[in-house]
Amino acid sequence: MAVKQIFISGLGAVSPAGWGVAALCAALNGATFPAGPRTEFSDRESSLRALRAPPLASRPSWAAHPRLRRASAISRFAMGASVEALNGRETNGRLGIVFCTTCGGVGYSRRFYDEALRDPETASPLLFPETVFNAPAGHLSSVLDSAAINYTLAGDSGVFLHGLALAADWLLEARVDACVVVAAEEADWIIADVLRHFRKSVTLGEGAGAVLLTREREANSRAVLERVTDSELVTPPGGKSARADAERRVVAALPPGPVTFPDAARLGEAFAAGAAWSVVAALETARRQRLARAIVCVPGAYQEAVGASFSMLGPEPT
Amino acid sequence: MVEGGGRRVVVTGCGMVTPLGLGKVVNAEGFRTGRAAFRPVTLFDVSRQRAKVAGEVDLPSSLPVVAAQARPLRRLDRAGQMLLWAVQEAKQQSGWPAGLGASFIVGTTGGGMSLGEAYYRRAFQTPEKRRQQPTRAIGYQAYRQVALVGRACELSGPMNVITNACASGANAVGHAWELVRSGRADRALAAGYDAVSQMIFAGFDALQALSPTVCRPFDRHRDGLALGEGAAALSLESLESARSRQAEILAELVGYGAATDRHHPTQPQPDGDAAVMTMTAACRCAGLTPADIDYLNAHGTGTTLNDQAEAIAIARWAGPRAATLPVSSTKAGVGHLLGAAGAVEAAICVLALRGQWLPPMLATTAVDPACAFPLVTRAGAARLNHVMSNSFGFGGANGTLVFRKWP
Repeated sequence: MAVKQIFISGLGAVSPAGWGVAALCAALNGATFPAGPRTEFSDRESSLRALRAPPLASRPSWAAHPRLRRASAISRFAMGASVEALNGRETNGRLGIVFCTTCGGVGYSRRFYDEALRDPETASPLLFPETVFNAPAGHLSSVLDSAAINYTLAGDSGVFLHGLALAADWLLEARVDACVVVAAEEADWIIADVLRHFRKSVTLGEGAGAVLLTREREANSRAVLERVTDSELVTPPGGKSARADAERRVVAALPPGPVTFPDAARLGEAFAAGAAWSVVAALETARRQRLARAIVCVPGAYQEAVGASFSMLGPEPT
Repeated sequence: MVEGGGRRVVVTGCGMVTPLGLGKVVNAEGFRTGRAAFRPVTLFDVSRQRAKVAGEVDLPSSLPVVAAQARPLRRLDRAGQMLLWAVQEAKQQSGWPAGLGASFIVGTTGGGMSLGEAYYRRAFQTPEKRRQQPTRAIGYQAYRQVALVGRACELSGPMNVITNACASGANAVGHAWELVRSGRADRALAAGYDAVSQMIFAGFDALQALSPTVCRPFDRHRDGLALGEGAAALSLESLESARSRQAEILAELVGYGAATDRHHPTQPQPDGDAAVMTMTAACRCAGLTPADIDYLNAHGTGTTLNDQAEAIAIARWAGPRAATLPVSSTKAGVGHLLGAAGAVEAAICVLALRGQWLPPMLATTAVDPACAFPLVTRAGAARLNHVMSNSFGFGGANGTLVFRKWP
């Protein structure tokens, strides 16, 4: 029988509020952060700040995997969110992975380029592999032990929603049995420097959000992916009113109901990861409040707006 | 992957920019004759690097004539300009009218890396000087470049930027194929692009992956890869769509396989397990066996580890066919084009099918004994019905494409 529905069967998050969906939702619902997530980059001007994800309280088993020994923060965030979304599920080698990002592994990239500028003869070969956009995706496949298809998508914040659509296609075509879609970003002064050119009042954030999509309804399934809208391009890119226009067009294309937007004011601007947090939070809120739908609109940082809707599942028939 | 079903997908346009030159005509002649196009790096200082050469593209001073205003396009860096040239050529050949919706799927590793590098240098060295920094920050983003080029070439459909390292271009072509084949799009323009940048050059040099001598894929004395730059684009559409427009069909794309090598971030699994998986999957969805493949365009970077693992994988996948299957790596002529490589090599396959020739690699003279297949080391004609292209990348991204001669 052809698969017609794609189920949302797991959620994961790492954010300045902590590791886990519960910490994310508590922060978005108004709880205060644990002490100390705000960072000033000590080697740069004091005006550059970020909301950082706190260190892990204890070392989970996946953190001991050799692939993650020198992995960047973005890889660890992606791993943490994905493992939470999988919730112990066996991958059977048929787990697809879609990794989404706007900025990528910028910390190692900046460090490596800095070394290369100082003296390319001594630039560290250990840093370079982690600069590649798909390094986190490769680590995920290796640690989660799946040889199935694995894509990295780069784009504006809404790239996470494009990732959901891509994963749904793979599942509908039976290329994979399940697929983790994860978006992650890491904070670095160079991105904080970029951000102040465009949105001075917004602080940079970091972390990851993940959604597990499955072809079959599972015990953890809580929603069905209803639709991902077309992209509405912001023209000219970055323009405030153009951004608002694109957002309006996306909202008009979505079903009626309360719409969740990324909350950069509370958790920092985390681009694709911020979009993933809004999906996770919308699904959690809809579950708690017994709403029929979760609806998300991601206006994007500079290029496009895109939206998605999810139909919430009732109790599984016995 | 849905096997055996779906719509037939044909190539109706092809555009290329490589160190051999601009356009498919000059490139077809260069790849047919095995011309090498390396020169000392001029884009940045390499005096303190092990390797000193790369395949650089000579871009014209003006941009191609396209629909969009010229001003935003002038902000494209070298990489974006190469993408624009390739896409414009493919789109023009396909004859897609303006307003005809087409998805735009692009693979890259660096996007506008040169702008990102310039941003960093300015921010670090003279942080008080902010002029042009916002333009650099936005222009660096691959998605921004792709959107600009897409708009300029009137591609009005959805866009995706796939950054699967050195398999990006092949994955972009494969993904575009899946969109058309499944009916989610009638047309898709697939492309790959990357420019040589200081950071990436330094990175490969730091890994000692660059050849300090000559790039010689599958040669027993090989000592590394050469970096290159370029772009390629293929216009893909359903057979029905092409026929209804009476478009000239260049080739049919019949198979795509993708898998992930879990072994190591930068090294292939020594037995090439994932490569075997992708070649097998691509053949299976094309309804072919190794005996049906007439030429294999290998990933063939010229590094010790890649070529060894790929040689083993080809032998495992091809079985008895390996003994007579012609194999070459066109990286011998233009270098490793990273995110562009898979798309450029797909375009070479289309050109080889059209012209019925095998692309030789003239620098390879002492064949690695691991090669259980004949290497194409001299230019020559051949009867080609099906050709295959392999692309493997950091992070374990592997992709294989299969093309069929048309008609």
